[in-house]
Amino acid sequence: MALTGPLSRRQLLVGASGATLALPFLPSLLPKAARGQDDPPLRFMAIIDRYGQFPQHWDDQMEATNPAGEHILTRRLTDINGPINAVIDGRFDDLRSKMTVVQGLDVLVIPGHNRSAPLCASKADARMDSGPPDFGYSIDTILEESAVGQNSVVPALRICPGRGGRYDRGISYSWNTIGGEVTNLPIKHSDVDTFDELFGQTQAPDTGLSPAERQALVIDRVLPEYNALMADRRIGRADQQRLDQHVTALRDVQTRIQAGQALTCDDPGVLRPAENDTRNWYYNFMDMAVLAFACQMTNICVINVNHFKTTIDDHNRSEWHGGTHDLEDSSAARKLPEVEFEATLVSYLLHAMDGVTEANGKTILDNSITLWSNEQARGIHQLYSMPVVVAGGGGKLNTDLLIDYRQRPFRYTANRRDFGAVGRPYNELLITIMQAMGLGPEDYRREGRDGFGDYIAPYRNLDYWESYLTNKNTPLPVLSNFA
Amino acid sequence: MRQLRQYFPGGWALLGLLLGCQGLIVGDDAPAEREQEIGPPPLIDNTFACAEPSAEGLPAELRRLSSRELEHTLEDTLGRSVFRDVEASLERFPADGIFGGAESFQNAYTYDRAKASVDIASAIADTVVDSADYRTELLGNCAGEADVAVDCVRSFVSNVGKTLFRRPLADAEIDTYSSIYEEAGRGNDGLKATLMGLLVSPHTLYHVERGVELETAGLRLTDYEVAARIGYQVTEGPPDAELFAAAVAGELTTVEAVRAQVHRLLDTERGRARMANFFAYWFDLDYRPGFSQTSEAFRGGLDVRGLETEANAELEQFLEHAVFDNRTSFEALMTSPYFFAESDRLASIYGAPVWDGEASEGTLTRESRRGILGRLVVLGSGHDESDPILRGVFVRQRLLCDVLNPPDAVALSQRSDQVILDPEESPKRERVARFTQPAECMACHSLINPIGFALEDYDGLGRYRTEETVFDDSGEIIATHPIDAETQPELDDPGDERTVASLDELSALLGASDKASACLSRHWFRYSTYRNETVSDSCQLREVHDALRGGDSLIDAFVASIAQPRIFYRQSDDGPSMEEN
Repeated sequence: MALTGPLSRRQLLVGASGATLALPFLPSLLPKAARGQDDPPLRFMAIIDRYGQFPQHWDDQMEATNPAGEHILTRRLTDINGPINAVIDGRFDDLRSKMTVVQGLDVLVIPGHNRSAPLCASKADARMDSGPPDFGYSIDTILEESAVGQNSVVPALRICPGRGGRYDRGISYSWNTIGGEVTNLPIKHSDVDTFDELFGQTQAPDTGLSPAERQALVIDRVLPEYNALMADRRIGRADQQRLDQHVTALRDVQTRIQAGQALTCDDPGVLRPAENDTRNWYYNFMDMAVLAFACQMTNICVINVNHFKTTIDDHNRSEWHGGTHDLEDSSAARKLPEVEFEATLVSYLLHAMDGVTEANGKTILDNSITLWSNEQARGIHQLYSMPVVVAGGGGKLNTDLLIDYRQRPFRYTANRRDFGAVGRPYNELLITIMQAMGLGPEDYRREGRDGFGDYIAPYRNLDYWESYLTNKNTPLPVLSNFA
Repeated sequence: MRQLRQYFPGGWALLGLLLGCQGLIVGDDAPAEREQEIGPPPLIDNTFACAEPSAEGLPAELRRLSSRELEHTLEDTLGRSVFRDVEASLERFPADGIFGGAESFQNAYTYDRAKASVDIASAIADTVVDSADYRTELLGNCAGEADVAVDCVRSFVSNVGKTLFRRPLADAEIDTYSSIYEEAGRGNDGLKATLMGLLVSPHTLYHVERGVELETAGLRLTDYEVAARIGYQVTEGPPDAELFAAAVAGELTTVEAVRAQVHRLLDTERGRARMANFFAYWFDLDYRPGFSQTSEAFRGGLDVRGLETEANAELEQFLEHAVFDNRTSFEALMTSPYFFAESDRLASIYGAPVWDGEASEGTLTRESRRGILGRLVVLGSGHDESDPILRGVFVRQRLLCDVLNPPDAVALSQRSDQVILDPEESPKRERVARFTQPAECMACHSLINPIGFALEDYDGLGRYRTEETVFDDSGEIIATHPIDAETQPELDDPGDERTVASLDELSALLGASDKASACLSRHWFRYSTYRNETVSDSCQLREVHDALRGGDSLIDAFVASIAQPRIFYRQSDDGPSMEEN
């Protein structure tokens, strides 16, 4: 991009993005300062899709080796050479110390799409075509009703990039019992509407460079100096590689600067143009989620990456749902582009959260519990060993861990196809999150029922789960870092 | 382990040392995987065989500036007053340097370091440009203009860049960095971005040497590059005005000219600080034990608060006077009976009068307590007993450059309690000998223990003693044992039959030891070059070693290591370029 004369903020950022960045970056939410509060609240962020991760790309590539309790194995993520698995790859490397990957959490229901597994651990169903759910509350609604939600401007933000009809717009995973009926709570689909509702404006005046913009510009302009030095034949191979590593690090700095560092709340700027670029549409939502936390608009955000028919590329529509079922009985290790994009999106979100430092010296990522999961576990309507990543945790969760709760010897069911090990109820993860957020059993019990979520055991050979059914308030050992 | 603690006060520390002492002194044929675990062993033996003195240049390695080098570079560029205001921002740069060995210096810009460099540049630019006074310092007559003229910016780039890059900038470079001013919208934004660009340039952050290619192989460095080598090796900073002027005048073309500059710079504030930092590295001062865990009964009324800091300061005084005032030789350093204790308590430990803070020779100890070995840096154990293993390991690692293999934790855990003797029944020497008796320990401890045993005349607080006193948990004396300090330390070679029976006798052996003076040559080389020695460095090391064992002063030996013909050259590159791959 040839440029002459002074740049506007927008030109600058768009230009830099096109020139050097692997990830798109924030042309809108201009860095200044996160709204100060000495002791920022602990927030809850969930990013969820409706399909799943195939075992050959996820469980099969990970192996925890250190015993940490009965049927529990662990391994430090930072001790793992190379990618953690085919999905959690180099995009997440610098965040490993703040993440934990969990295997072996099961939801014992058979869900159709848009049932509530990832946040509810029940079979609450959007279409209600399989009878009323046994348990109709998702943890975001319970958190919303608690002080976590009630002490913020927007008790809970639920967003889903969506434009078209029924399948493209998606339905939320949030449930509550309103007037005695289990109700699927509304979700925001429009980036512009959401932005206006949160911040009241979509355009900001051009007032010169912010510090972050200046940093981004300088990195952009100095990188050719590094490249020129690398190309000098008097520089040896090892030194070229050293300089190349430096260039990579500078690009990474630039990306993260632009991914939401020190967001402003008074002048939130403009959204990326998304009319002709569907990816921008997703990134706009990610930015708004981070901005909503940074400006303390809300403490709860659920992002639904929820496209039955994929729309990551408007001109080449593939179908995530169909692709998922194609792999149902196949060992082909084809990675769906949607899975790739989702991982990039999650990496972007985590980095953006980690790019904003708050008044307590920690980042928004540190001050939040972030859950990345989905509704289909292994992609084929069978919720064994849900793919779960948690990040941050506010000191309440242990991080830098791979935790495997699958019981040995592996148990198998003959339903549809053989499955690997089963472990502990996914409910315990949701209980862990709620307790870490400060809720006790009295806060999340509903309808006079002790504990949280459905504990249904429709499959055979699940007698070993009995021990979990006696206490439905147990947080996950090893993951939880509180009494 | 409970029993270990009962019978070995400070047993955890002892275990750590045992874990660090599995078996072998690693030589040239150490397996590669072992090198991975413990860091590289010496790559060349102590003869430093040197067929053809001098001509091969220094290796072609592009090294980044260390944090201290960067700090000094910024201080010289910005001036003291500006630097003081931005100094705090430099704390963002991850700590680095040489700790333990040259391999501790990570010559790479990772994300954290790159981010810090950008943040620091940003903080400096904000401070400078937003201050009218600082603008004037750096921009001169142009400072008052809101929209600074391009010619002024070019002049600014040229002046600031000269110190940052340690050379005049080419016109094309001035164009490059000045153009940032325009691209950032001129005005204050433009100035800040321009300064930031210079600060994060590779020519600021790396020791770039491109010289003039020779017909044979390698490069002949420019005078500016030679000046930069001298400046950073001697002061960890860029060339000062006099050295830079010598480069401008083309005067840095002979070894004599370089030697004069090195001598001059070593005696500057930065040169002396550099030397003090080297000694702190050599003696691992950051990692010596403190004394707060000792018992009251053992201390016997001695106030140990801050004692280790005071002991380190005494050592620094001793070394500074030895190097700069007394022009001490290596042997004299190892056998000097003079101390510089400025408090009664330290003077009482060292058996010497309190130093008045002025006399360059210090005060004379009344005890058998000479040189480095007589000081707390070696003798302090951190607990109520002497620690022959800790002392032996220190001498082996820091004074003799032996590499001690890591532990065999399994073997250690499988040993029976029978190897632990009761302190009420047995003196420390006997207990250590029994504890390290298993064969898998003795391969190493046969070399460590005798050195430690020779220092048994001194307790864990470095006090001279005639018998070993054992306290129980309530502070009651439950036993005393006679001291036996006679050993065969085998300093230079296994099988050396010379024996010693006191600290002074061991110090004398060390002072005359070729291995010990070779070790100092290695340490100085590693510290001043940020890398471990290789065969191509033999001649340089040989020269320093010859000077040390020939009785030259330490400072002359250190100067000789820098003022060598190879300072003018750089070796050719190590392989095909990335493009060729």
